[in-house]
Amino acid sequence: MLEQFFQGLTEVLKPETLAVMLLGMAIGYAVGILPGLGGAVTLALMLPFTFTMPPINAFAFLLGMLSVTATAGDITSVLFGVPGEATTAATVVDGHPMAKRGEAGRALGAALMSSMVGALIGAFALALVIPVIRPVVLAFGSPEFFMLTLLGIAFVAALSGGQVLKGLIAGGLGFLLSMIGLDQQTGIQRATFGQLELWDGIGLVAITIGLFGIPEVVDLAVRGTSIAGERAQRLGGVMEGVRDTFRHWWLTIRSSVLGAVIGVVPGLGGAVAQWVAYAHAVQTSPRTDAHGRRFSEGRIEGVLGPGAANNSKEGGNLILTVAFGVPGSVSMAILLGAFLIKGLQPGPDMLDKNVVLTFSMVWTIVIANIVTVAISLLFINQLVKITYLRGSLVIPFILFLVYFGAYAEKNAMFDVGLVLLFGALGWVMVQTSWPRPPLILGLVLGRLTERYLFLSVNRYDWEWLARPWVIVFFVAISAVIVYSIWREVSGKKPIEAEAEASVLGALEPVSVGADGEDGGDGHGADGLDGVGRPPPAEPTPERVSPGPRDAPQR
Amino acid sequence: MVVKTPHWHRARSTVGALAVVAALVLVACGPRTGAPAAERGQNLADFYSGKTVTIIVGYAPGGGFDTTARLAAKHLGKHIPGNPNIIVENMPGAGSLTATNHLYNVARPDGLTIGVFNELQVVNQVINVEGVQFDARQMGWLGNAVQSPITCTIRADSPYNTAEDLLRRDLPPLILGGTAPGAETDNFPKLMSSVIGANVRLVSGYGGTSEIRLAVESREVDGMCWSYTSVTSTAANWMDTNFIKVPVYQWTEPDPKVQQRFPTAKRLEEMVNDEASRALIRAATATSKISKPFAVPPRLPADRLKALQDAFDATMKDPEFLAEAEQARLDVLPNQAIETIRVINEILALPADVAGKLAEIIKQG
Repeated sequence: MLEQFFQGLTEVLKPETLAVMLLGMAIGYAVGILPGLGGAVTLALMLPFTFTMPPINAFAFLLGMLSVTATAGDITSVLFGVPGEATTAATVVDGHPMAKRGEAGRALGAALMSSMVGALIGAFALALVIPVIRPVVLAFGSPEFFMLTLLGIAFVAALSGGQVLKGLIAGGLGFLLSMIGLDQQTGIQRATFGQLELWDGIGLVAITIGLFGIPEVVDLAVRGTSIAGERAQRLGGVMEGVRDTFRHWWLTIRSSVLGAVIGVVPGLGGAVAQWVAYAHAVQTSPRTDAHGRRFSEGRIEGVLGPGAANNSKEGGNLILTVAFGVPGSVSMAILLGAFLIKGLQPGPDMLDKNVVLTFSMVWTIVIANIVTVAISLLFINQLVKITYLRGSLVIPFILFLVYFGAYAEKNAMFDVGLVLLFGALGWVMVQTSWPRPPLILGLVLGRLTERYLFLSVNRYDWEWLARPWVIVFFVAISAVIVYSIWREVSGKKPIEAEAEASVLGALEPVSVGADGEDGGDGHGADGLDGVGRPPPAEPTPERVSPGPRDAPQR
Repeated sequence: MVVKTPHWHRARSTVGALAVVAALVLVACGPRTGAPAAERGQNLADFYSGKTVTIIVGYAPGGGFDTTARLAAKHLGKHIPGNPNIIVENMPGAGSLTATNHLYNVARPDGLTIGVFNELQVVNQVINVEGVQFDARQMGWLGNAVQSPITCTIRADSPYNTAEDLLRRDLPPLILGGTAPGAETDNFPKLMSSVIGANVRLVSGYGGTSEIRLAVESREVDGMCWSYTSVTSTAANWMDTNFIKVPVYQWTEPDPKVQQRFPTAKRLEEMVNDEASRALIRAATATSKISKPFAVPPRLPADRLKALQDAFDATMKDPEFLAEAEQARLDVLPNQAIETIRVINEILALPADVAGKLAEIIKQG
């Protein structure tokens, strides 16, 4: 096995293979930066070119393209606040506020570096589990997948940014919205209002771009400034972001592992990993950082978590595709098509007879990500300058990206209308301080949870509740929920925050524990819903880098 | 670099920017086929030369329909006079009903748009499924790419061996996986249960056939009923390792490929004695003869329709196309337009009572 592992590397390093990989990467990069122009459509367009290539080259090309779209998508999310891909929406939540503070370089550096770490871990995880993955996944059935989706939903509370009740309601709304469409089990139409375009539910790309992108554009227009409200501090540069990735080493690694594991679960789709990783980052990081900032106000951990996870999930997705022929996303479905066209059969053969090809795919992911990140780091500082352009120059470009992205998913004008509708909703949610991440998490998980529950009951009646793994997951879910609530109720800071505070306390004045300066219903550190409680008394904060003047964006 | 402008200025410029961009987007994304209405008698080669023909696929990229369309797109151009450029666009939605409706109602009948969608839409028209906004009689048909019997593939270690076994009541029900009502994975088990009283239980709701495959491998379900060409292309390792067996399938006469590989397989219609049941079975599975159809909007100028039909026929016989399809393990067993149209008309001419029974079977939860 080890021999084939390195043989895969030598295959990929052949000049011709490297060349097509670089070509694929260049295309994937361009595509990832443009919102909505998904990796999937481009992969499909490029597929015919691979018909004549030998298998290793074909997959070097396709995987090279696929590996970098998530990384490039992070760039758009941070700079413009418009998700470059549906899988990079979580990076907007904390990455874009950092850009508005003039720390775009730092956010980008962190996103790039964590993407690389995530990709490497995802790829090596793929390589490591190859001998054992088939029996492990085959031991899981619909009941276990149902419990996994429930586990994902349990993180809704962690995404609520301290306002658990609002978060739960938003999550419930997302869940409800996911039910729109044709009921898969009976064919009954739910809330489709007679629109054929709603039969498959609300397009995820449209709602993500609308919910997160439009409010940012409106905010930019209203502010009348450039994206970066102020100049970067000395600590705002790209290398600082890279250093942050290593400062929060364990978070990055945990998020990568989380992403890879989520990627292996069939049907969870690409959008879940980022939100679960974000929730995990929220739960395992101090409530406020050294500058007193909470999550969604521009916390570096909020960039590192999703940045790593949305790359590592590709490794997980690839395992599922290669070992079982079950595509986890449309991009993987195309890759699967490429498999079949080449006469390859996903399944045991890929882990046995053709394992060199599988390992070459692992190495492709590794090399593609390293090269992409290295090259990006070189010119990212130039890209950061966009954030200093006058808003009125940048807005039309962003709007074009938004509309084009919404249309391009299904070639449907209807989705453009959806973007505007959810853009309005997103804007209202921002103005009223309602958290948006729980809504999206509810949206991506809702249908899936229902499907797996239905399959479980249909197949096993109620006996599935007694299956061993189901019970294990039940305990895990309860633990997550109890912990989330306890954290909100007790308002205790983990020990790390105190240590961090004392170290940095020597450098600059800090206001540890102070609330963000929002005019909304003071979400105190001790209230479950924060309504009606006065903000805790605090000394007047002396801020070195003041945040944006208006309410924190979520 | 931080420029502040007065509030009302900003509001106006925002609205202005939004309006301009919206207008640009609407113009750019307007009716896709921009050719003006055809002039009668215009030379075909002149018309097609330098133009682009779009194939609209009713599924997301990566599936069987999409792959077939893309492979065909590669070779179709050279068989159309004027050698136009051929591109593929995906318009997924409602199991390809969105694309079908779009082709019928929105696409211009100028010979520059072709649609590929699920043949089961014809059945949806017959049983009056809500949302059908087309008439298969009026649609133009170029032919279809494959014909394939529906086979029920079950785990080799299942106690059911022959078609007669399916009638036994002493064994636990055979559990078959399905995706959604109206799909062939669901229709066939319901048909078996209704017509011959087979001891099968349908567990429907899986996201796709690949997920059902996983469920078969993990023993959650015992098997599924799907088109044989899908089995050979996406589950070849099942075949190679004898992981599955086929007790029952359906075709209007014995299919040599299936019988050779699975000698004990029996056709469903052989399990019934009366003409009415046989008619029902054939009606329910008729579309498997016109799988992966290529269609054009209604009222195309006759010469262009003929040109496209001939081009489709030629592509399906093109040795280069066939070689690539073979490598892709994509079965190509085409029908010319005339045969596709015949089968469609047969389906649409079902007597009301048969259509009614069909609707009952397919739509039951």
